[in-house]
Amino acid sequence: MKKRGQVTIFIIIAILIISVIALFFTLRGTLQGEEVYAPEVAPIANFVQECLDKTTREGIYEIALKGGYYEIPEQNKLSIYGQDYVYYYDGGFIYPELEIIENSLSEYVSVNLESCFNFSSFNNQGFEISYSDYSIFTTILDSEVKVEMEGLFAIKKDKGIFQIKEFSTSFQSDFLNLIKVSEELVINYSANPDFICLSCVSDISEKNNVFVSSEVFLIPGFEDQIIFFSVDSSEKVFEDRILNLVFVVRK
Amino acid sequence: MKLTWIFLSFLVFVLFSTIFVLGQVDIEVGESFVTLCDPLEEGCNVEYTIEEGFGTFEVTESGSYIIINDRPYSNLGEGSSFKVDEKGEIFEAFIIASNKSTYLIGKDFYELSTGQTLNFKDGRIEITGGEKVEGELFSFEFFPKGGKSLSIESTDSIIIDFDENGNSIFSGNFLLEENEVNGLEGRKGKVTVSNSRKIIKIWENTEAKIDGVRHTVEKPLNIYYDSLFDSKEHEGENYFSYSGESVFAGGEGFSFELLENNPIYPEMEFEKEVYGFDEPKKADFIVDLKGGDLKISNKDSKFIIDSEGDFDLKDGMVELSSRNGLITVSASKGENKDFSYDFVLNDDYFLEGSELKYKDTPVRFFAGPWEKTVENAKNYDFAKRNEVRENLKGEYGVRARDFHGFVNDDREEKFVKWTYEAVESANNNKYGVQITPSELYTMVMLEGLAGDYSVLDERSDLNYYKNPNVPVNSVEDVGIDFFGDPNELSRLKADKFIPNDIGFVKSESDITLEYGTPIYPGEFTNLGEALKGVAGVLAQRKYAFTRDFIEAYGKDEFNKLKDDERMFWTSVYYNFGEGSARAELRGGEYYIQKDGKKTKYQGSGREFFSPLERERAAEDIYNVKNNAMIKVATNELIKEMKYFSFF
Repeated sequence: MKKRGQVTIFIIIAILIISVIALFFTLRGTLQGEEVYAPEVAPIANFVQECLDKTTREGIYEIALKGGYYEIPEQNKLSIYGQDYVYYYDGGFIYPELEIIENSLSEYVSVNLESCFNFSSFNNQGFEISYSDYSIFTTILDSEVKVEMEGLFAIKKDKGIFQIKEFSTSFQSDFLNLIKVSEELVINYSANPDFICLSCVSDISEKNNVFVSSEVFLIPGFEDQIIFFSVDSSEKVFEDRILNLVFVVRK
Repeated sequence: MKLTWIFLSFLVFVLFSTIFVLGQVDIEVGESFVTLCDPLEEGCNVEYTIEEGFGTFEVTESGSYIIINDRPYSNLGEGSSFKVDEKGEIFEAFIIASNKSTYLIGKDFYELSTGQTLNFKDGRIEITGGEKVEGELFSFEFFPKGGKSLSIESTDSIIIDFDENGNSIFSGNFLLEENEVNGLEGRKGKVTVSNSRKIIKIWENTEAKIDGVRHTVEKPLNIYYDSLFDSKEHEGENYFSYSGESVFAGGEGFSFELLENNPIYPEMEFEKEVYGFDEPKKADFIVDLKGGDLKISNKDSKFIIDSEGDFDLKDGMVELSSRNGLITVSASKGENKDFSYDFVLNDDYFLEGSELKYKDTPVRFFAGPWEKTVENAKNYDFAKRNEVRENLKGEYGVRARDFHGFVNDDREEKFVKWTYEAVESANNNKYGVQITPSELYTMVMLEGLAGDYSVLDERSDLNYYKNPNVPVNSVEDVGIDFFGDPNELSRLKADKFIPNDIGFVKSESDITLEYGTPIYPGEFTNLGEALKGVAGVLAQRKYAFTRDFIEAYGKDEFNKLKDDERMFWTSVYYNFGEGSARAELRGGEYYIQKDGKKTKYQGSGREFFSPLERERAAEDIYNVKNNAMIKVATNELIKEMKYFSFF
């Protein structure tokens, strides 16, 4: 009896150990922010994941240059010498809500992701890859941008069929800080439109650990001066490019 | 008999005495005498009355004189009059100078020229008219007591009052030696002049130009010339001090503008000639006091400004406003805003060139994007250029060309401005297709303008650097062989890709190349017009590509296109001709005529936009792709280096 009880305990301990190990491996990807895929589809899943990462980073960079928009609404658009910029203040506040910027990033990723999906090398390896329409959801948080992709990837090889429904990426980013700084700059500007309080801009920069520069242009055909603000983070968001949010204000 | 002789002698004496008395008549006025000129002399007739202790003398013949208190008043015109009190002081006077003469009124002398009038009444002098000098102005000399003469010139009358210290207060619009005094808004100017000949006060509603400084005064302003001026002693006062190499100013309701030969920066130049521009660039330096105090000096051609309180500063392009301790800046809204003078304000704000910095926070000012382009190209980051170019080579398989050296010289600002203007012109097209300055610059440089012996090559006999308005050949300089084709011209004009009045003259004869390829050369009046031509063609090709792409692949796909692919296809359309380019874009068949032979090609569709493969260099189509890819990479390089971007 005694021996049997000891054996039972050992079995329970062994089961517990195995469970913990299994749980560790199951959660490891999640804990590290990475999905773990079945070995058969891992190369393709990782490739899609890389596309999502790259396109998201590129998207943040690109939409920041357009004041947070993917497509600039007409009332915010300054078209000048064939180039479009975004008004945040044009006699009144017209900067975008955070939700619009999130949707813009989603749209950018949604439109541009597909151009990354070149599966030809996988096809040559005998994979058949198909995917349904997908949806992109963006959340911009303090120090973090999260993008989730929901769709259905079907990967077929030999007789096996694998499905992946979700991909997500998240990384540290100063984007929200830049957005908040921009709002603060516009509010500051609106107190005395047409003038820049340089010491105020300096204080805002210092407080938020960003670099703000501005350029004032007198353009033929425009009655008022046009002021461009660029809020720069030290973050290299895409390749070697610094994240900077650009917008325009006018009296 | 003896008595008779005595009587006769007495008569002769009386007769001679009478004649003598008639020569200068002394008129007793109270305790004094006024001597009149000899009424028998030609040009002398003075009538007088004595009444209630005052003597009134009226000149009825021009040229008369009278002596009052031993002081002669000569060359008096008809109508001149004096009212003298019992002590012989002139109480009132109206003098018409029949000839140039000097008159003492009160404590000061006035030298009037012929025909000028001086009216002295109620302690005030008004001087009017007379012979005019230099066309519109008349002048008189003013000799303040104990001082040297001051020359005053005016188009209108001058009124002179006196303050409690005996200083003269001049009202009118006039030149006072080198200084100029005028009223604001149609009024008369007013200044106080000390016995030492200095303007020591400018009254309200007056603009006074003094020693290289223009003062515009709405509230009275005291002027000082002390080398040891202490502004603390003048708190609560409106003051301006010329104090050696610094100026001090404080108070409110007045402004001052530094002019040529001002005391702190006498060599200051307010205009800069810029190559190619008809008008020079202009600047100014104006401080408007709003209750603050400033001290301004100059160190190494840079203004050093120490300030407290409220004021506005317009420094050419830059306007700076100080209110309640807060300093704000803006681009100038007035005139003369093309450039600024460097300054340091309170050791906090540093303006250098177009950049104003507070701590590490900069703001830059530009009177047009072309200024920024030239400035950015001057400060080119070669290390970044190399890095970007390397990346682009990896991406597109070609080496991006670097043309920043054509826009990094002040002489090239006009060329850059023309580039922007050409973009603006082409973007007026009726389809709403837009091109950018970097696209146009890329295209025109690669199509000939950057080539040897083009108009941008200083080795050419006729080049832009010798003459900014040198004519430009449409074929050799900018590579638009077909621009002179009447059909092409009328199509570009009809769709507003180029203006109807574009400065282009088609050559009388066209050229036909071997195998029958026609060329339609012509000459643009200058580079600006040539750029409009190239911009128009570029925009038209972009439009054609846009139209064909949407037709083949749909609007949604078009909207997804990135700039590089758009530039690629626009270049293909530009160089390849619409028909072949369309076929290539759609993946259709087309023919290329070469060496008199037609060769059939199969278009590859959008995949044509892909990194260049060297192994296909032998193919005819390779050149088209190679050229387009170089344009893509070059345009991307310009965008990355940002010298044609607003930001």
